[in-house]
Amino acid sequence: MPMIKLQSSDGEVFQVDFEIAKASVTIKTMVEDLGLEEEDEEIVPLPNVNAGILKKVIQWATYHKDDPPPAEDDEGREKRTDDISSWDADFLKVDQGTLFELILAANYLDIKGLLDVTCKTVANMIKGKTPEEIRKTFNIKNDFTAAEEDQVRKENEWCEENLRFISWSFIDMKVNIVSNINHYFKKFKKLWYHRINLSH
Amino acid sequence: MNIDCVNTKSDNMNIDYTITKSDNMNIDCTRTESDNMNIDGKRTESISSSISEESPEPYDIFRQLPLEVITKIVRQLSFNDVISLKSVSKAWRCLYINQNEIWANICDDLNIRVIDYSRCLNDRSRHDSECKGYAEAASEKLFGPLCDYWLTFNHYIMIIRNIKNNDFPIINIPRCPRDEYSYCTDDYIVNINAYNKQPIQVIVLSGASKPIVKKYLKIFDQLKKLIRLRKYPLKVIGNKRYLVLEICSVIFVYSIVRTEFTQSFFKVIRKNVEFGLNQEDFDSKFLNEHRETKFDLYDHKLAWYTLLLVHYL
Repeated sequence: MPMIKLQSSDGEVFQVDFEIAKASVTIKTMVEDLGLEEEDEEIVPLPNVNAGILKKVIQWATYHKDDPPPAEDDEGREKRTDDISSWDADFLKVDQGTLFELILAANYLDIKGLLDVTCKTVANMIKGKTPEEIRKTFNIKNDFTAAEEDQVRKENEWCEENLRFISWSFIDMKVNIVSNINHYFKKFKKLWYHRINLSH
Repeated sequence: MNIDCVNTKSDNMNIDYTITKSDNMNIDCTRTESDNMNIDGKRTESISSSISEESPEPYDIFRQLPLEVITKIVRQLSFNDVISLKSVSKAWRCLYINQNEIWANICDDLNIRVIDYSRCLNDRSRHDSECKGYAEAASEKLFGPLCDYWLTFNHYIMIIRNIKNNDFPIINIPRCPRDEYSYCTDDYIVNINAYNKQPIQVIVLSGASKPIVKKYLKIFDQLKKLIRLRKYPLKVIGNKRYLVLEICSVIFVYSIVRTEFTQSFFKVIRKNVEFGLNQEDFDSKFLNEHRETKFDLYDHKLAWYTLLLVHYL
């Protein structure tokens, strides 16, 4: 099995299965550009990733080595952050510093799957929280002056107040579709029961 | 249907501006114990050597992330979360949230197009029908300019608010019978008469020195139909450049160039029941018959719409 040597920013060298390392578009491109062969002893330097993080990234890539390649276009409008697998959720139970370093590493190494899941994890940490709770979660200093804070509050109230009263037709369409599906499902269920009763 | 080309997202990217603002931001680069807190707020062992140093000053941990990654995170969030985020700190309000990609996403979710709203109310200094309450709520003076799509979003809110409240400087002169109305702006008078063959007449007030021009608007078919029904109230808002008529949750927009009124576009909106409009006001058949509208431009939304029709049929 072809192996590749990756060197972290602090000099540690990791020998990794090339198929696993290929999860990183950056590494894949580097190998192709350098024209590295199976028997080469060449080490691929990764100056932006330290050993601890690189170890975690390799661990993630090893677990996900058989995953189908991620879709090219992820600009879909679905805002789902609840589809993180339990393994990934456990894997990402790390301190914030490590989580952010993993995001940076995934971004630098161009590992879409890892970047997606780490970004979703951070999004989940923000979801449904008040500004004060977000500050507390990420230890962010509130640097607004009283006047600025007041202005931001007015700005928010202004658009929330007006948005509350309107909803675009598409939202209703979605509701309609759901209610239609429910309607047909109930109808089907009724017919099914009827059929069972008849057969008895 | 006269629909101008839409600016692409990349055209509207305002990276230089945000970078400039970030240069002016006074954000400390020190790190704190938050780095070592996990999702549940519990202290955990950090394996990232570069961020293990502690400092008493709070540090915005997001500062180490590239803007595009922060944008990717924010795009996973709902509108309410975005509103919360912009109240967190100056960096969030002025830089992280002030990104075209984020607001383009919000605008797209709300079916807002730059071309519709930006042009309607883009230059508020020249706009003679300022939306009530916006001046007080606008924060540009304190925090600097907004990205294009955020501005577009605000314009959308302004139009909705003005339609809702009829707050544009319009004088409504109800005549007898109740199917005749006049709406006056500084530049023209719009006369509505449901019984006329051409129900909307515009009288252009070109100034005292020039003769008054009377003209009939080339009317959208659906607008004519809705006026003739005499069932729904018609609201009119307008300025020097645009005339917007709203009836039965559909807005019809005319652009005005040198006293010429041109049909620009129309768009279906549906207001909350609090406005007293019934469910049947929103007519899927009507949408189907008017596919030349900009609904076609939203393929992913049109897919929903097609699915809906399949269910109806």
